[in-house]
Amino acid sequence: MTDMPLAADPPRLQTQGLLIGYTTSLIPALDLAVSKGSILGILGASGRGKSTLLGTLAGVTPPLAGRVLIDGRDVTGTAIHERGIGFVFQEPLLFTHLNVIDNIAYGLRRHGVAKAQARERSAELLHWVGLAGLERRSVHELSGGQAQRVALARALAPEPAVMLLDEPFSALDTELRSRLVAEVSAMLRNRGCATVYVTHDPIEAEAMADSIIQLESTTTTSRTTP
Amino acid sequence: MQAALSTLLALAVGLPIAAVVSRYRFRGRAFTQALVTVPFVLPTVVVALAFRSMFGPDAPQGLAIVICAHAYINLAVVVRIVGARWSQHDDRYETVARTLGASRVRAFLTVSVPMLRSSIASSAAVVFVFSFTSLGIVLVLGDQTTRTLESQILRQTSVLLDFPCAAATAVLQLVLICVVLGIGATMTRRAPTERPLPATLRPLPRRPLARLTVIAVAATACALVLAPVLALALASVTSNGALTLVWWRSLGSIDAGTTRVGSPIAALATSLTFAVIAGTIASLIGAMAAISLITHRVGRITALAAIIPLGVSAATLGLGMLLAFGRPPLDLRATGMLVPLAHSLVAVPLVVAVIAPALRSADRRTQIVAASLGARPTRAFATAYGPILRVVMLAAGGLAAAVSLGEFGAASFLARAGDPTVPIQIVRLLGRPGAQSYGAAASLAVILVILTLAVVLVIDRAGRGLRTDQQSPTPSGIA
Repeated sequence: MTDMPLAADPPRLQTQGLLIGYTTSLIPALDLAVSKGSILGILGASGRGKSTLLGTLAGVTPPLAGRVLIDGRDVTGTAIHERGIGFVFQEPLLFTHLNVIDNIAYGLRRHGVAKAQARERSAELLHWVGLAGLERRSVHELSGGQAQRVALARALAPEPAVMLLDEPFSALDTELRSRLVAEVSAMLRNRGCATVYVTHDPIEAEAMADSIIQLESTTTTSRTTP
Repeated sequence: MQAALSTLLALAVGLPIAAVVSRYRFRGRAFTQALVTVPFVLPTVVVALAFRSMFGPDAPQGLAIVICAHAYINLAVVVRIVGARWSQHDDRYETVARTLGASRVRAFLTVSVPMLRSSIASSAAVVFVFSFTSLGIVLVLGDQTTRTLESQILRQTSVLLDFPCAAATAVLQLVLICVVLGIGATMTRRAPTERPLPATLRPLPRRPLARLTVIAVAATACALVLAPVLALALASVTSNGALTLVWWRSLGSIDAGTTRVGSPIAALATSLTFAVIAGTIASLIGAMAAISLITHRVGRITALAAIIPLGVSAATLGLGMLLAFGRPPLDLRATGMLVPLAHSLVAVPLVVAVIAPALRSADRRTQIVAASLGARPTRAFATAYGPILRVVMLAAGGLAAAVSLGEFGAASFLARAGDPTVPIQIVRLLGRPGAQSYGAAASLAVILVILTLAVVLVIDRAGRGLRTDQQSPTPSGIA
């Protein structure tokens, strides 16, 4: 069992006795607590269940046992689209049939925001991630770093309570990656998201996260970053 | 109208099957996928008769049954084309859409469908053209409301003997086909693309309802494909509700008392002869076109000429053959070669499609090594490509023979009255009243099914053998 150090605020994301996997649990029961504006790093070798954990928190993969709570609400049986989470993968996975602004506006539209208003708010977000002026650009014309920023803006647009990041910078070059790590962690804190950040790079985890969990098959260890 | 409805039905039935067989790993998946392909390789006349057998000889003919039969035949087009694309689609796009607030259905409609649009448009265009130029199905199952341009060309040629009008109709049909294929190609080109993932199968969903849905779709697909074929087989061994072999026994003697229909066994011999001739001609022409395609810059023009018959309907081809080789100065009607020649033309595009990729997959460096050792160009080419060419020409020839066995459109223009092929014989038998004619037609159709499937299985086995040979490791040691 792993207890994360709790911040002063009540946790936005909590798990209680969470067992993840398809038939048998990949790790011991997990008790997490991530508060508003803080970032939890998840480290572990391949096959240890890092991505499965994110899938379980998102609702893609049902847990074998345990509960997931967001803002105190049990969302274990709640459909993905009703959980209030954002998810950014290793690849930006931008919708290729939509341009940059419509990619960001996609989530706002699904939440009932009118088209004009959704585009206006998306333009603000695009400016915020440093890509103003690329509104009408086809997603095929973006560089890797630009595409990942758009993916982040898209995930942030519906103002999710929880942000799940699955090695979002691993496909980028070292210089760009270190710059984005700093920028994105600041953005997420600023937005008040409880963030779970999966990476295989301990240095990156140290730089970005407030606390880190190391997933092992028999145990999980946690520590707070300096 | 008929072609549009057929296309919609083929998509409506084919897309769920494509989603299941191309994405999930389950017992019987490969069987289901192979079974769905069967209707496409069956002769159209056989499918038409199978549908009549399923609904009974007195079933109402018309638009509904024609649409169902067209959707049945073209199921494989949708499942294969869309399925190939779907198997490479990244599911995480849907996950992203769902985290952004889209429901499961909404995520599918707003994200996955646009990304699959190119393959859906391609398959829809092909199904539309096939249904638009359908002849066998329309003749056996249709009525006045389902007449196609293809059947109109046949009528103008064989009943009204109005060749100029038939030629004009054929040109009109060709233009319309080009327009539809052009629209399909434009939609495909404009459709969004994603970087395709390696095709992988995923485990069945964990949610019981989703798992049950996958299994139910696969089971329904098998039942849909098997039902008409089983009904046909049953019709060939049933008389007044009792099992009998009387129709099979009558295959050699049904022409007793009439000279108009001819013996079914004789038709079988004619079809087999034509299939061998067409297979030989098509594999030779197709091999030459494929070789020129991969060896010469001008080969693309040769290959283009070879695949032109793919865009030309069977009736147009038959009419063209009749106008070109059915009167002086070159009248081949008396030689009996018009039908196998037309069949080989129909099959050449498929032969090129089989041979060219196989030749491209061969290691061209072998040719360079052979040349460096003193082999003349032809010899070096034979050293590099000969072993593959032998196998693939046999397979492609078999495919051409299978096409010839079931071809009806061109043969209906060109076959001589006393020398019908099996599909023509089936249609003639169906045109005669009486249970004996119907039973004999069903028996002949069953023979055609068995022959076609046997040829396709042999080709499949040859293809697998070829793939295995190509994958075998190269000896690393030097003797």
